[in-house]
Amino acid sequence: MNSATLYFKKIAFIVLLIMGFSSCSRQVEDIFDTPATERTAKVLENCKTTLQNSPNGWYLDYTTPDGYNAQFVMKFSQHDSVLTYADFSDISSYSSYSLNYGQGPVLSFDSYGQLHTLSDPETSPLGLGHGGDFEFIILSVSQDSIILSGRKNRDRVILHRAISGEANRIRFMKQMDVESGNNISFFHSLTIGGDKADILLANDKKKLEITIADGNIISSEIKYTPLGFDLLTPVTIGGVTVDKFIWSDATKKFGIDATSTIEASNSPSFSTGSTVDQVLGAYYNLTEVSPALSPNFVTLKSAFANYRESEIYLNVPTKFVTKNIKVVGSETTVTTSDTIISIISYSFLFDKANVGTVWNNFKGSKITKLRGDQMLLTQSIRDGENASELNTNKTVRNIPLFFYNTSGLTVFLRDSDIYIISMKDGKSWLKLKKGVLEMPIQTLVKTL
Amino acid sequence: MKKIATKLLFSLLLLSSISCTKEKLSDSIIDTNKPFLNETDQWIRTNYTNPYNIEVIYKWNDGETTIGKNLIPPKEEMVKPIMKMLDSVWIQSYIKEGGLAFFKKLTPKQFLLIGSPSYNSDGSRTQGTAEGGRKIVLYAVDWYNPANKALIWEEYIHVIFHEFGHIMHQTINYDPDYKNTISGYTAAWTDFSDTQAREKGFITAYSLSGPDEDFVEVLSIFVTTSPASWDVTISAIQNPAAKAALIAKLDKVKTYMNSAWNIDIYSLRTTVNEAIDRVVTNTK
Repeated sequence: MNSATLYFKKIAFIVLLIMGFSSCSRQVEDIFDTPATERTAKVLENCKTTLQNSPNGWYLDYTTPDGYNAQFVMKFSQHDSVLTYADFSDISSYSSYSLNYGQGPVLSFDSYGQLHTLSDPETSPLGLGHGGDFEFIILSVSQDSIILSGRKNRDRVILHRAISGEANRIRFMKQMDVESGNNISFFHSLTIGGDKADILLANDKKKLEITIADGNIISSEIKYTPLGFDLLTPVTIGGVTVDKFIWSDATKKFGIDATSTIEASNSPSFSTGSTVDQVLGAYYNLTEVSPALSPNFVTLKSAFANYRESEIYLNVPTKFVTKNIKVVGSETTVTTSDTIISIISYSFLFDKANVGTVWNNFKGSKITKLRGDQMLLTQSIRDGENASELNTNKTVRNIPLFFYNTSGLTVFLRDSDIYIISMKDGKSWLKLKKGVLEMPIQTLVKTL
Repeated sequence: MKKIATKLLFSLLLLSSISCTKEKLSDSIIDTNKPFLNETDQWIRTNYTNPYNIEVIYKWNDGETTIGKNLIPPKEEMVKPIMKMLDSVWIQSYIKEGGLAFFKKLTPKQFLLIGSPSYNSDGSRTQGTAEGGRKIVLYAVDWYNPANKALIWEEYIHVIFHEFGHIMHQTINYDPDYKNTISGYTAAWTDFSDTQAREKGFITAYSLSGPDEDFVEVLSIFVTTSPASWDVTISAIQNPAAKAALIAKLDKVKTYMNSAWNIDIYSLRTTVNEAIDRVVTNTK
């Protein structure tokens, strides 16, 4: 083969190669219709318009990676300013926001506002704080919600289109919703012209149950407004028709005027029913503790590592089995006798549930019914495991002190939930569930 | 023949490089809209950007800050007071002593304000940083309290005079012989207290970290503290060699400032001290 032929062969090969590469039709189809920058721009524009087009702003319930929770309502304006209400400061203030290109479309709260409290490294632990975000990657935008992802922590955060008066809904829930984890009173009342009404948030958290006399309960739907809230079913108290409540920044209360405001109360004015009779004769397990009482249980768990649960006895027939062991010489005789005793107690159980010799650490002597829904428990002896240590721990001792407080307890039933609430301090309550054993048995071994 | 073939090859190459379909270029992602200026923005424009071409950033821009640190933007109401203080204590003092042209030539072009302190993983705190004389980052802006002289000196005034000192020597270098004034530079400077450092002939522990830091520490501390406090600091030094070294260092700083920038550090010190006192007094 001469060099010219070889050269042409080479050229022909390269030409073929080039032709192969320079194909006009694209081999890889685009997955997206438009380039990434265009799509990002579209998301940003869409997000901005959506944010600005909510007249009541957006609601944000934010739990940071360390578990700190705060609620916000944010109104985004045409320019770059955002008016933020935060539940922890209870005031609204302006700061700025921007929509940028970052790792995708980013919503950034770029000047200091309440939201930054969740990211402040000066909050303990120093240098870290609550670990919240104030820059978020926009994951999806719809008319009702905007799903975001924290740029630092990747925590999922959702902005929900706010209702009218959203800040007032947050405020009212913080004052009335006993399930919210806030240290609030279980009961509330409203007094107009000397007439009292009990005010309770219904289970669905959308209605108020207003009791104006024993058994006379009016249920009314709540409609939040920029000033407070309206009752869709008005109620007459002290000759005044009540259909509108106004929030006061000064008193931090909702009321119909400056004097008639919704107040916390330790016990309801009107009976909530014959609840005491419904709970007597059974024992209960503890399922939930109010924030006011929870520090006592935290101490209990740390001071008594083998604490397992609390059982509450309200006149419970209990079988006491006594084993008498008698040893005479080489002969051992065992005789068993049993009696049934009605027990009132607050018991701390260690390493065991409802078995063993003694566990009724704090016993009561009698139950006095004060009203259909109120009872007074009188304490008698403390015995059983750890009773003296439990009693000397000042924090733990507050638990039986709550149970046997000298004002009494309100028994409140709703659906299957059972609450006992201190009449001395309406913030102290326990939630109970009925025990499962038909009759508790305790065994006592005696060596004669 | 070879030539023709080669030409053919190149024409084919050229042809093939002309793609059949062209993607439409999308619009620029840079926002060219005129930004909306609030009162703080306008104040910055009038007092920093227009006269000195300095940008003051107080709104969060993630690209500007250290990755991995938890920081927050400053409270907006702190921005104007702190920049006003720096204007009278730092800018106006240098303009008075060195002239407007001098200041405009050397000034960093960007200030980044951070609301919180910058905590390091070892529990220490970074007070301020300068990036090649272009950008100065001030931390703990939310702590600003003009009534607290010690605080504003420690957190902001010392920081800015220190960083500006770096810009000066990076522009015209000081006598390299400065580093031979006394030996003792060490990377383990954090093991020493300021008092211990002075007994070794260094004005602060940080001065021990290297000649450049040493040089700007002497300059910044001398011009921003009162004559009485400087004298007390120097006369408290027990070690005669250390004391002599510090006096010699100050003399070298004085010579440098004079020859490089035609600035008398004694006169500058008077101007700066008066300005600080005005800031503190006006808040009472």
